[in-house]
Amino acid sequence: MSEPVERRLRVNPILCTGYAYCSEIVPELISVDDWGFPIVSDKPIDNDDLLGLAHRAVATCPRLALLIDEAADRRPARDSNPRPSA
Amino acid sequence: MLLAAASSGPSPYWYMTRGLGLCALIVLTGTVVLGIVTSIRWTDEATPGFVSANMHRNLSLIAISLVLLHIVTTVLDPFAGITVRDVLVPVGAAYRPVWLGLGVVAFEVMVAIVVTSLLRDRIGPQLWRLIHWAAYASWPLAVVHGMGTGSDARSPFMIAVVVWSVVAVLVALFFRLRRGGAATLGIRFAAAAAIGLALFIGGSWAFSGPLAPGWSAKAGTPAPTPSPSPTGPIHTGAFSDPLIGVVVVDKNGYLQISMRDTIDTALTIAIRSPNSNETLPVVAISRDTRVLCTVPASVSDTLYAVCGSTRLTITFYGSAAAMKNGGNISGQLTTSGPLN
Amino acid sequence: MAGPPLASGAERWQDHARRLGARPAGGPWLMDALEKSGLRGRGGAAFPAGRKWAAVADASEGNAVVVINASEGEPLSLKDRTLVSSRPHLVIDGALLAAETLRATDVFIYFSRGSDVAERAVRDALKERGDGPAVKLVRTSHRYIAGEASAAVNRVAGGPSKPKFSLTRTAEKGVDDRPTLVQNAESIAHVAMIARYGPDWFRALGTPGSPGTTLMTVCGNIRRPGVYEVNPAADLGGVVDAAGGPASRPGGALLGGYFGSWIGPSALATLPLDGERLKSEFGASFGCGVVALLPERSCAVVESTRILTYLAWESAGQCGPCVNGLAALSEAMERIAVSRPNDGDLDRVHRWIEMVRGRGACHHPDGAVGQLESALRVFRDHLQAHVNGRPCEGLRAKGFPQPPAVGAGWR
Repeated sequence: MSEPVERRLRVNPILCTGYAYCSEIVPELISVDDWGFPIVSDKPIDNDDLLGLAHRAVATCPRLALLIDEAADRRPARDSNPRPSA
Repeated sequence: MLLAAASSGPSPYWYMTRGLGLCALIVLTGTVVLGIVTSIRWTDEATPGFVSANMHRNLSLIAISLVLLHIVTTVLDPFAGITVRDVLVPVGAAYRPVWLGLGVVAFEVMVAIVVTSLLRDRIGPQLWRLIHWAAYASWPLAVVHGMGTGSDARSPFMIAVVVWSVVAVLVALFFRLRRGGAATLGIRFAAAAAIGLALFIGGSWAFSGPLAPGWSAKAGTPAPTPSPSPTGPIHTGAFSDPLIGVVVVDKNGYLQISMRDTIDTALTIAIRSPNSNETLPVVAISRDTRVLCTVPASVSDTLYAVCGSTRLTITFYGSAAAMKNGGNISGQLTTSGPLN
Repeated sequence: MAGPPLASGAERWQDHARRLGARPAGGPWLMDALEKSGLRGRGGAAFPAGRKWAAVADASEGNAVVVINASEGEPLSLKDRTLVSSRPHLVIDGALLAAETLRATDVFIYFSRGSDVAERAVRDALKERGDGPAVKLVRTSHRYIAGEASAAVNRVAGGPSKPKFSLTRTAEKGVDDRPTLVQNAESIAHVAMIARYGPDWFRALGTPGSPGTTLMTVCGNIRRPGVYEVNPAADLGGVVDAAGGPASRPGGALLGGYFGSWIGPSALATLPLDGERLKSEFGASFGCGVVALLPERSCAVVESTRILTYLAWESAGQCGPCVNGLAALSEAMERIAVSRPNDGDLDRVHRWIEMVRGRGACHHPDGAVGQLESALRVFRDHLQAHVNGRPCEGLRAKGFPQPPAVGAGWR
């Protein structure tokens, strides 16, 4: 498969406790909601500088809640159902 | 009795130990302050949260490295006689055991904090937090250890370092305790009271302990062992050397004179008044701890005695008052042969 | 799925076998049949069953797990429990067919403690049979979120019934990281029928987009509340009539349960039940098939707020945006519901709806804000009255049935 791999930042909301260091390091991709928790953009990371910052953010998270997802398809990996218990 | 400092001064390792300990304390203070800054999430434009967090982490690693070097130089230093066992067990060291032991405890707490932080994801957040809070105990122990074990606790430089470190941490603690809701109000007040109490106890101890004279002995500094090697020429024949010494008179008028040969410094002379069974004063001549002879002497302005086959004369200089009431005196020893 | 009347209790094995015949053995043919049949999940997400089974089969190396979800955490819904307690053998058939087709070595049926009757029926039914791998029953605390797919997987694997975050779907990595099928109990009953009668039989009823019959729970302001098997080609008016019609003039309806969408009173009679039409024409979803009719004197804004507050309490409490967001929304909506909002409350509500959507580990916050948002949209005029401070008699009206007491603990 020669599809270009798209990298996206993803946050595990269960591990995240709202330190928001990630939003300080890469504000281009992460902003903060009204309660201090990161809003992670699902834009693919398209340049190397941003990728470097993204890696830095992943390493700095005290809860290891941030990760870089390298799925080839762009669908969010949650069973993308709008309702539970299908 | 009178003893000259027979051994030479502290080794270079002692100074390195003090220097490293001082640097470790300063860096540790920085670590604690930054840890508090991180926990209250204080930020400004130049200092976002992750900067304080990372600096705190880096300083803590520098601090523990300095402490490890400090421990190595302590063990290598012959002056204080601290062994590897003393590094791990906080009691029973030869040198100022209590105050050294506090440093051992502080170090062990630091190790626990660093290890649990590096393994943070394996242990749960509650356990990590609990152990990390022990830092609030580790830092004051380090300060007290530094003041209690040092030979220079009274130097203005050391005092300034301690004062500024304590001030920095107190200011940070003030900002930390201000934060929190109604639920933690009781705990925060209790913490503030505890800090005040600790400050009071620490301050009283400092002023009555390390900052007051005589601390070295009170703290349990072992007496330096006299050097066994001879430090002056041993006369091979007759000689005449100046003496220095002291007269002590007790309330019964009983007189004791102690003198040391300033050239053949291992030679000491002790003279005492006769007791009830004796008619003449008694002279004891010793080389280091070995008594050469104990003989009666005849005294007028000068003292005559015969030690073995050597005749000796001691002339006393010094005030009549010293001879009657006690004090410093000097003299001259002249012999007809060697005293070995 | 007809058969003896529900009032006669669980269908016994002999009656089931006589009525429907022996069940065929599962296999890849069944997956093709499901694809052709167009069966969509009946748990609320309406995901195509054939596609879900294919994902599990692809990942399965003979170690797959089947979990039949009969927990029915939705307080207004009764269909799963009713079905399982009266047709346990059908559900068990479906589970065993899935195990054979997907090469699963473990089969679980997942109940909450609000389904005691259903669980007993299955236990008794299992004693009557002797086929297939042993079916294990797993119980959990009766909570809304226990029914979420990853929560079910978590509980079946021995943990609490709380959702988990994962970058891979449960079809690939579920219980103990094994490929896992999580299927609603009603869906698996349909599978058991399709296996006997084929996809064309299934497609004979329903619409192209929503083939087959479906179970609906009709409740609230209705003369004969209960569970009805419905043809989605009909419209809601037909279903309401079949249930005896409303007891009083309806003020609207909530379709799909607590994660569902609101329907205004004028749209009720002719509302289609086809999934695609609901979505494209009304921005609504069929969900788990609950339709709760609102009495005329009740107020959708008030009921919607009560539901939102309930869902805020029922959060698993694992994700900041869900816990904080739903609590903040609930607080502001409660002020609006009593017609005493602070300045900017409604703007804040809209802002927070967007802020919360999609930011939890599961879809709990999405469902909660989706329900709220549909109420604010469909009842916009009445909402304005609340915002302007006009008191609403809906506060004192009876409203929807209260949800039952929540189970304690997470197991």
